[in-house]
Amino acid sequence: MIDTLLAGIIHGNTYALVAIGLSLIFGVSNVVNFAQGSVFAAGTMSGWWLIAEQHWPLWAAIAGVCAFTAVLGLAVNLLAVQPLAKVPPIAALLATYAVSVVLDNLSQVVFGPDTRRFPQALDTLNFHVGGFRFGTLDVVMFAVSVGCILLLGGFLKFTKYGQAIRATAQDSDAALQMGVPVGRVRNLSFMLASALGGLAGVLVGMYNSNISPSSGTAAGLTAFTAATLGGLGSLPGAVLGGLALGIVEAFGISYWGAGVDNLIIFGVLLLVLWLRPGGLLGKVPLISAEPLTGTFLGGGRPIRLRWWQALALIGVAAGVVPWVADDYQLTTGTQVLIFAILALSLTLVSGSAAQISLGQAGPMAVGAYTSALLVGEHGWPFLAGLFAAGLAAAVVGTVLMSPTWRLSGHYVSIATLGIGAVTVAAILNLDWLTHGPLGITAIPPPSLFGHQIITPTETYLLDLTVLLVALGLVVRLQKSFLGTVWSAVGADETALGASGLRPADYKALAYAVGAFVAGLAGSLLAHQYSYLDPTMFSPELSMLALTIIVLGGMNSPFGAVLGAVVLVGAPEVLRMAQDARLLTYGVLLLLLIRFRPQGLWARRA
Amino acid sequence: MTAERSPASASASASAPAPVLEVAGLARSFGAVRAVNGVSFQVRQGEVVSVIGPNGSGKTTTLNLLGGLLTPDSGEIRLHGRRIERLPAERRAELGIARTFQNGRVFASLPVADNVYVGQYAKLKRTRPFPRLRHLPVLRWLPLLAELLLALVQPPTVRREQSEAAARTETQLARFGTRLLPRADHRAHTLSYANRRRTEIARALALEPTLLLLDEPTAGMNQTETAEVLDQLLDLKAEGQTIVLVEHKIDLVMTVSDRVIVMDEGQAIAAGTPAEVRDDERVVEAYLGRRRAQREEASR
Amino acid sequence: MISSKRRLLIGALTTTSLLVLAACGEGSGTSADGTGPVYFGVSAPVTGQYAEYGKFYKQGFDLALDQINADGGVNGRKVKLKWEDSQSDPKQSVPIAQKFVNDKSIIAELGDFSSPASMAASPVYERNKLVQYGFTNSSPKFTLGGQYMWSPGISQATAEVQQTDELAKFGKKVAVIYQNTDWGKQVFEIFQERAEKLGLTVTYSSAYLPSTTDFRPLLIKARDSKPDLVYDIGYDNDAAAILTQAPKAGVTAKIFTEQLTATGIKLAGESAEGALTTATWFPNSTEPRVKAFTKAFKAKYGHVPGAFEVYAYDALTQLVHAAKKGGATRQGVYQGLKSSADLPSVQYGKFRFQSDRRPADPPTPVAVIVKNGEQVPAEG
Repeated sequence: MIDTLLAGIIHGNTYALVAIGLSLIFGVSNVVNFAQGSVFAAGTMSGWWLIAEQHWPLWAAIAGVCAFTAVLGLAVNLLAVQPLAKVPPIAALLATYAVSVVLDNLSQVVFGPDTRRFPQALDTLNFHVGGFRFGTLDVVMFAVSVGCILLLGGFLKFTKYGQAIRATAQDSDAALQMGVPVGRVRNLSFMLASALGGLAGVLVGMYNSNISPSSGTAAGLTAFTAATLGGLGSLPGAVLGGLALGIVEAFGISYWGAGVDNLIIFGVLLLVLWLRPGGLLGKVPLISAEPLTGTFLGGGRPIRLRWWQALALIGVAAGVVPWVADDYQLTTGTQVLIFAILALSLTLVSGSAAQISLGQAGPMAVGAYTSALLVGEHGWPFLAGLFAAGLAAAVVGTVLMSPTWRLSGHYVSIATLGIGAVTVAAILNLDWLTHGPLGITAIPPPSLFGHQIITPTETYLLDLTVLLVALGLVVRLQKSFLGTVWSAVGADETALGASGLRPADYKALAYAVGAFVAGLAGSLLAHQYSYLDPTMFSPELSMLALTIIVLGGMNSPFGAVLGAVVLVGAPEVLRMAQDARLLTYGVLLLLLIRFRPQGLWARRA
Repeated sequence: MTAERSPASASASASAPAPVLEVAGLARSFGAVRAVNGVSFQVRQGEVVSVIGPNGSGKTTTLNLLGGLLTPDSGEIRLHGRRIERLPAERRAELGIARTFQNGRVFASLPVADNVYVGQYAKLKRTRPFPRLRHLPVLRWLPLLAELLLALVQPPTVRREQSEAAARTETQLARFGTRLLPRADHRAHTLSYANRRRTEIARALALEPTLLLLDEPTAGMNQTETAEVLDQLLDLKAEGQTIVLVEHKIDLVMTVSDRVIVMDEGQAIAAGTPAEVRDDERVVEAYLGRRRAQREEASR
Repeated sequence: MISSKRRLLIGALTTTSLLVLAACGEGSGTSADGTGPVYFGVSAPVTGQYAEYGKFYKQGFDLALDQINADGGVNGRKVKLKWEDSQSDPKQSVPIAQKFVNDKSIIAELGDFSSPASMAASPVYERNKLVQYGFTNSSPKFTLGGQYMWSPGISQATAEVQQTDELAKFGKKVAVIYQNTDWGKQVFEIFQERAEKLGLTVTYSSAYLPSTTDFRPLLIKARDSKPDLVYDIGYDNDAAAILTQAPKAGVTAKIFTEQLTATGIKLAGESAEGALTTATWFPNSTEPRVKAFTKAFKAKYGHVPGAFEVYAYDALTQLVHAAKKGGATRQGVYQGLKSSADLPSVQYGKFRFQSDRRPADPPTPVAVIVKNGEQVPAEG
């Protein structure tokens, strides 16, 4: 018992160290900094390099790492956050995500992908409580966490710059008017938070001993849960949240085995958001700011296609392409189509209603598994399976999301992240239904009226048909009175409530429609791949869907298709630029959000 | 949901109509700050009641408590005798309370006409079937899905209701003369500040509310614009609209109000007709400070 | 005005990209007409989170290529690889499969790394009769995908039984932790069955996510169940983490890992001392084929090979052998695999495939223990 508790505290401490930086930035800039995990990972890798390759002593390496990551943090702020200060925070969230992709891939290019051993510069076994042994490293980590609260707390309370930070956090406009150099304050906060992240990287790297450039993302997500649990914006909360999360996780693993790890972490995230979004020590603002200038991403007006233009495009897609293209291009085309459908699932809920969903992989997974099980194991006809897939995805998604809709802004987005992860974790653990990690194999190809759809041409045409149906559905709804109401949700929920309409209801409705469409995409995926397992429905998949509509124009159904053509189709063309592919993706996303947030297929409103 | 009726409304005498709004002992604190500290008043049918007071006196908080953006720590609010203080804002809007906001909230990315359209959407019967089920958990999906289906299919009954709504929208916009009508399909964020506020009022009126709450409707407007708003308020008053108005511009308040409530530090320190309130010592004191009042007293 | 210009632009862009795709699609390289290089396609993660394994593959392949081409390639024709970065992502491995299948110069395919990436692409390879050599896909379901799905990885059903038999020599009470993946789960189930037959007691068991970095809570539980052995069913990375963290959790029992090669030993540092596993080959083996291979690998790369480098090396040499036997064509490779009785392998020595497209009669692995940073045969 004690051992588990100690293990939980020590591990929780590693979360806390990264979470502190997250909370600090959130408090000051009102931004969820997705890049914190990458900065942390950069700290680990540069720390390794300084100690293992350059043979610096520990203290010097830490100083070097902190200086390096502080500069990184400054760059993140200057490139991705500060320029987006005037628009809704979701823009900065996406921008920091883009930065994280760039940083992670740069790290992989520079250091190579190998897993390495972080030098054990501090003792790890010199103390013991009963059978449980720990070491100087663990004590140091704990001291750093506590020290952070005390030092940072003191800094924030008693020094001029600290007070400037707090003033900016409370009300940046007022602070600006009082002469506080808000820009410099934000830079300072970012540098502080990133230096902390770097320090955490070194300590946690030593703790984990196995390190690689790709270990940042998971750390970022968990730290994020810890910060939310403690209360985004509260430093003691970050530490408290980290420790609490570590303890809960340790005991959860102790009772149920470590397979439920993600379920616990994201389950905690969801519970916090549903029961007490402010977390243990934080506060959620009561009345949201009044947005007079229009939303950020929904601000673009989609270019309207005239009916004959739409018809011409459909004609080309259906009639010309299958003749002109070869099997490889058609296969690529099917991937484009499936992901276009997935992206389309976001248009109403994240475009019109401005509820940014970071978890569309969840309903897609539900749809895929439903179709695979019903058609593959219970002999349902394909079309019935397809429809059931959409329906199941809609129902499951709606049920899971229902407590979330009374939240708004990035709390909703965070919740969707959690839902996506929990859905996949549940699929992983519900062995008796889904075969868990074994996945489902031998899923039959789609069969229509006795004819099996297996050639690339036929698969392409099937997917195209489903896309057209989904497009029809989304376009019709968007143009209807419901579309107007959804746009009103996205524009100003408070005003909508004052008009007698319950925003939560309409958000839920938009999400349900989206989930249905995502489920359809899942079904097509399952029957084409003939194989499914939970790892296929990752957070990266969700982010890809979101990126597609950001590129294409969030409000625009056709933009979703266009975005898919570019983001899924073009990399196939760009196969030559191997190493640079992911980097390009990250840079592209960042540029988009900075300079053309309305996407390709839209005018600036 | 409780719907207690006060004895007063049950035995309403023929002479005085039952009050539309009754507020008793309303209180709300934020941390240690008592923003509203025991406010009581009534508003009768067709009355225009203004709430005035220095900055920080709790006027907007009171309005937010009435509108449902905030719930009170204690006290009661009754609309036609029915207690509403625990109901969320959208519920109160359904019951007939419309409001505008201090800095003006419009659907910035929607055209002006759609702004007004959304204001009346809640009342559409054919487009939004099963209204009573909407307040029940789980069952609310029946009306929602019905609404979805109707949006997909759009049968003639729905389309007729939509064109009726469009006609009503035009009527509301016409109220503002040439200000809004020619801009009906301009997006609200392209409008001037004054026009945005007008749009907001038009949206609120589209609800055909029992009670209209206006939070500083002329804030930021120049004299001409303010005069226009005054005219519109007088028109509404002539039509019998019940209004609670929070305002700073004393002239406007005095012209349009039947009664004025003066707040200071969370409490109502004076209430009465405009004339009564203007001469009230306490009001002068609240606005100008005690010493100045004493100086004036001494210099008489 | 602007809007219709933009429409035109978009239309032009779309058409251009389609045309570019079409141009790229034209098969590159010579067809299998008997002259020019012999090509094998590689679908593997070069970038992304599994890039590490793609790198291991490349090392193994390149060493094999050096030797094969020095030996005259296939009937005097040079052997070359066409790499495509799939990131082990089925969304990419499927179009890659189609691309390879279109490219008539490619006579067989190697990879992919993960089950989803391989199995999602199997229908394409099967339909088009191109051998898909999933040399690290040990899931029994992989070879069920079709006649053209081959794997030189020993089926878990056999390998795990053998490992359990060896493990039993070192302890009767076992605490087991295993990766919560298709592979880990299957191996664990096979272990359980065999353990019961041998009269072993499983004192504790738990799955863990492959992304787990902190095993302490599990190790504490394992320790408390008082086992003779702690058994990890995972890869080198997990093994290294567990070896490092076990002393902290107060684990005194011996640690037996499903896989442990030079990669893992390097990662674990001093904590690797005394770690047990079974292997059909290990760098210090006295088998001449292993010695030759390890020597050549060290000479080229400066360090001792781990598991995945060997898998890749073996895979390519086997396909080349098959091509030499059956002919440098797609059907030739298929027939060659089917009929060869002596496919070369550093891991197993010579072997042949059985009808389920898995190696027949693979050698029994031996127990090895880490002593002074190297693996040597162990006594139970």
